[in-house]
Amino acid sequence: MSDDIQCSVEYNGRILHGKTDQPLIDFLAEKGIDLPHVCYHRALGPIQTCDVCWIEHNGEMVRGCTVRTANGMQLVSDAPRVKAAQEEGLDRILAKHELYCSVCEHNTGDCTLHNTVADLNPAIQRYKYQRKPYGKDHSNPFYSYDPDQCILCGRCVEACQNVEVNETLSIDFSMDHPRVLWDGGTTIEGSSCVSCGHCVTVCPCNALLEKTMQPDAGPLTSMPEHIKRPLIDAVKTLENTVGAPPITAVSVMDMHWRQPEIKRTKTVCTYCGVGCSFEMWTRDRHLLKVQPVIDAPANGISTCIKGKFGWDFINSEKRLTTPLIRDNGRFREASWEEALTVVAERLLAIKREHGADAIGFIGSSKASNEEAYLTQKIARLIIGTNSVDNSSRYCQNPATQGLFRTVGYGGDAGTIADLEQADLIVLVGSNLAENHPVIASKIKAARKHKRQKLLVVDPRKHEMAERADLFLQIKSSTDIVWASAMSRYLFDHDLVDKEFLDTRVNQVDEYRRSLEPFTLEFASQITGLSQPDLVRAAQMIADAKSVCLLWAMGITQHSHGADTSTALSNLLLVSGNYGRPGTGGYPMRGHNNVQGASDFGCLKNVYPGYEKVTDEAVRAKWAKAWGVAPEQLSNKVGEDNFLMVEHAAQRKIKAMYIIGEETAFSDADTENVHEAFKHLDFMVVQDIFFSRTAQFADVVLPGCPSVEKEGTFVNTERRIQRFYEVFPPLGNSLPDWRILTELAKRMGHDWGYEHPAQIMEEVANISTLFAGARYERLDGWNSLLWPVKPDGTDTPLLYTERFHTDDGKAVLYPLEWKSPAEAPDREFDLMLDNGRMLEHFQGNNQTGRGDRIDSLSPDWFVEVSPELAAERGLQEGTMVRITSRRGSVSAPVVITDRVSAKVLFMPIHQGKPGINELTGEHHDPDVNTPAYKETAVKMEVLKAPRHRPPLPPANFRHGHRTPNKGIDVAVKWARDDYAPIDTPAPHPERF
Amino acid sequence: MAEPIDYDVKPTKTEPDAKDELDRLLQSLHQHGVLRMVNDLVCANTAITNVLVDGLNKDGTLNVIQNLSILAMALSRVQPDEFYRLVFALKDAGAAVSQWRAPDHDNLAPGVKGTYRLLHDESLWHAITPLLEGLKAMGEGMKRPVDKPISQFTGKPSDA
Repeated sequence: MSDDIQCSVEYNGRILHGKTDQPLIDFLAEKGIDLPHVCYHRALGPIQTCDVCWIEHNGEMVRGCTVRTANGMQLVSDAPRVKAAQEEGLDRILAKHELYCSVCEHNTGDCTLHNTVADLNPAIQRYKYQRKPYGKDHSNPFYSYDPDQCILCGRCVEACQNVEVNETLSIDFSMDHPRVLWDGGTTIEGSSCVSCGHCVTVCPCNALLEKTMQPDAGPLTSMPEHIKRPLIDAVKTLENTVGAPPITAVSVMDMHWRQPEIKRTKTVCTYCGVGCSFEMWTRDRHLLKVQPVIDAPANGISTCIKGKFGWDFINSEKRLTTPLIRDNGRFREASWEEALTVVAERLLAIKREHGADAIGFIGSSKASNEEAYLTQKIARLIIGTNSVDNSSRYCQNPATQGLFRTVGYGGDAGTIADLEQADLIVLVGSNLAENHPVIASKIKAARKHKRQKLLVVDPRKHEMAERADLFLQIKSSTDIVWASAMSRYLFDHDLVDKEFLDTRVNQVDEYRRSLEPFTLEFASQITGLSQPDLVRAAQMIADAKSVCLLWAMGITQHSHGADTSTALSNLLLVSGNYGRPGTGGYPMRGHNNVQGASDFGCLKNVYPGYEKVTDEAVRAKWAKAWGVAPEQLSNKVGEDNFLMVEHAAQRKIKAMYIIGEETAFSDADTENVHEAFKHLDFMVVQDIFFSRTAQFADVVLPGCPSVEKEGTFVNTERRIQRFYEVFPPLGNSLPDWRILTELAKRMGHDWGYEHPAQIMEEVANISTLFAGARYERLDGWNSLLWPVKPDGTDTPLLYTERFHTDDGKAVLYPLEWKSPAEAPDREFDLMLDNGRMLEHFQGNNQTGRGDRIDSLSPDWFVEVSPELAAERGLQEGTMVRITSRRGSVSAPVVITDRVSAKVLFMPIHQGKPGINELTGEHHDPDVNTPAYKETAVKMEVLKAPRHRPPLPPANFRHGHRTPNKGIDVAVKWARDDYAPIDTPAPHPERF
Repeated sequence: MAEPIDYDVKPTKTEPDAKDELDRLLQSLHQHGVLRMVNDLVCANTAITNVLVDGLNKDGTLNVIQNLSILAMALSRVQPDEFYRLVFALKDAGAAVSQWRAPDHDNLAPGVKGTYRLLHDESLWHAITPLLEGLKAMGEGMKRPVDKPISQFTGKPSDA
């Protein structure tokens, strides 16, 4: 029902006006009225377990959480029988939960149960608190579960089953003593729990609690148990005489006096490209907890393990906090003045001696938009080169190229909301549940609740493949054939969107002719898929009213990734799936700001906003804005990451400035990269850790992670979000934008930025794409999706009226099948796939700090299919050597049907030197992206003792999910000992 | 040729130490005017102490302190439910005393042999009757069983 339909509701004799069909509790909250409740949560809806929110609705007693507003409704919450019912509900909860709020870590202001107790302020609790016959579960590294404090509200189950859809938690209300169950009744460790933290986030009390909150979230909470317990018992005794209100008042005071030392700051996650935002609760430099809120535009209450718990790196002892200068074969500490002066003088000297193009810049896909802007501004304006790039070269440029060719903008067509409402999700080359877990959750939820269909095409059977309506386990590097065969099938069977093609698309006939070779027979032969499966897939696409197509590194990190990305976009055009809600192409961006680093100009060929460096008018515009003559800016396309390294090896590039990128680990063919770095005359690395890349540097500058500065990121949706400073910069480190500003000053350009808002304003004044992007419009939870018009109007869904091309029409881009640059042969007879794991990130520079995440999967490994393991006589933990045409690595074996036949898989995170010892320099010629996922290898069994199970038995991948619809409260109501709310309950501690 | 070299990063302090906490405490005490007040108290200590000693060294003050101590000693030997009964019985007695109103007519004196004249003293009976009412109410109150003072007080049953 529409939000703008108004209604009038009579509440305790008052007439209230507001939205129709709104949950009553939310409706009242908007009016400043609190209807006491515990289990209701805006993100979860009514669960009906707490029995606190009773209200009289048109004379009948009902649970308020089930009521939605309607005109003329008469509601009473202050009648004696209503008050009595609310208090009885609370009393039943307190039979399960011991109140010791002043010494409880959770009494920090957002404990729903404490606040409800304080609101109702009962004189004394009706029922005796009873312990449950279970111990506290500490087995997870990040959170604990205390059955003795659990009120069985079921919020955690709802969040796990219906929001995150990991389907681990349940409550069996038919048990004698119900409790929250992991995988039906195991410990948290060893279950399928992925530590996403949803359950902890929504828990209304301290039953599920972050370990970072324990034990000293409050001034009195860290006292030892041998003091705490007698103290609690003494207060309970006193309560029999003085009643609960004075004790509740103390706990309310306690809650208040914790506030001055607790700081809540909105930030945006620094891991993948989903763009989760949340509050960080901190005391000094201690991160108490990450608390997502429903207002977060991309994620709502959702997080993954990294966003919720992966922040131990912030206070790592290994953080760089002082500039370092290479001096006589060692690094020595230096002042900022000395370090920045050295960098400025050396870069300017190299420019004078060898020319501007002898210097290359790699901006950071983890740093802010403002920092990306300054990086390219130094490169272009001060140095005079367009050789500036970011890590999108290693991952996303092929996807962007495919979109440029067909629809015009290098970004996702719509938002996560579009993904949720699509009829069909097609997921190609993306391990979404591990790489973009929160988006995966949205899709899993849409599939569970809205019957959304899911088609997965991937060489690896990951979680989304297991959940798919149709999973096509395709042969690596052949997706272009699959996609083009789909298009041809749609044409051949008259299943294309003719009107869309006629009115909104160019080059239809030329494209159709190019599809000639892509018959089902050919596709089956190349891809290894059966023809019936191919037909089923085509029919699913044709039958769906709206299709979103997602792809990631499984498509782009190939020798023809740009072509395959183009083929996928072509398929969307052919089926008319652009420009409508629930449609479009969605390359999943892998870093928090890989989109923004490109958007804000860290690319060799474009200024911020994708304005071409070769366009004279564009050059004149930027030169004018920067106050220089156009000739001072280069109109020659620069070099990208890949070529910079290659040219460093050839001594054409003399200096590199690398910000927040682990190039020495993440670029393909590591040995060559290291050799190239050795040849540089001068190298600057700006990072938060002394990375493997920093080992080659002449000057190392300590930057700050996002939590120690302000700025904005752009997520995979094109959503610009602001983040705030959570902690001050650690030690002598500086925010990267300030480092770059200081460096520019020492190179003769005093820009005088004092805050990133000034930088954003400068970009917005020059670049059309961001014309209306202003910090005041990005305040708090507000966000903007580019393009942003000058008046601040943004664009959640692209192409609704025109495509971003000269004539506004999309282009069907003809393609042909090209064999992968590297294929197996008799010697290198296996193909090696690689990718991320949910719990780790890239080279582990962040997730590898502290042992909590590492404890989940501490070892590197290679996944081998059961049939290959049988053929080669391998067992779990057998040590093998994997050798490519470049190098060798050793790792233990994990036997799993996630991979099949002769395809292996290795994570990219671990190992020294890591996966890129094996990968090669073969790359996509259109965009110079290395073909990381086209690596032919051979496998030898080593005569070494068997390794311990590389994936520990307690790893969540070994768990067994228990899917259900969420809380079935009817089972609780059907218990023999459940009593109506106006009757005393014999055993309220049991439900 | 820049050979890769490693560097062992020196840890940077991430937790506040005692001095940081002390600095913060000082700042908070300053911001909230506590330091100013303490300063004032310290500076005026002779005069203030003189006032306090003068006030303390009076019979009344000393009696209060000693009597409170005796009360505390006695209370430590009394079970809360018994004490509740006693206190609330006294409260009820007091209420009954205060609520008694002399009837409009003057024939209250009951009369007792041997004290004939006193028994016919109307004004005396006006004075005694409320005390008797109070004793009756106290007697009733002492008879009531008390499970839990707060339950008795609020009327809400509790098994807690």
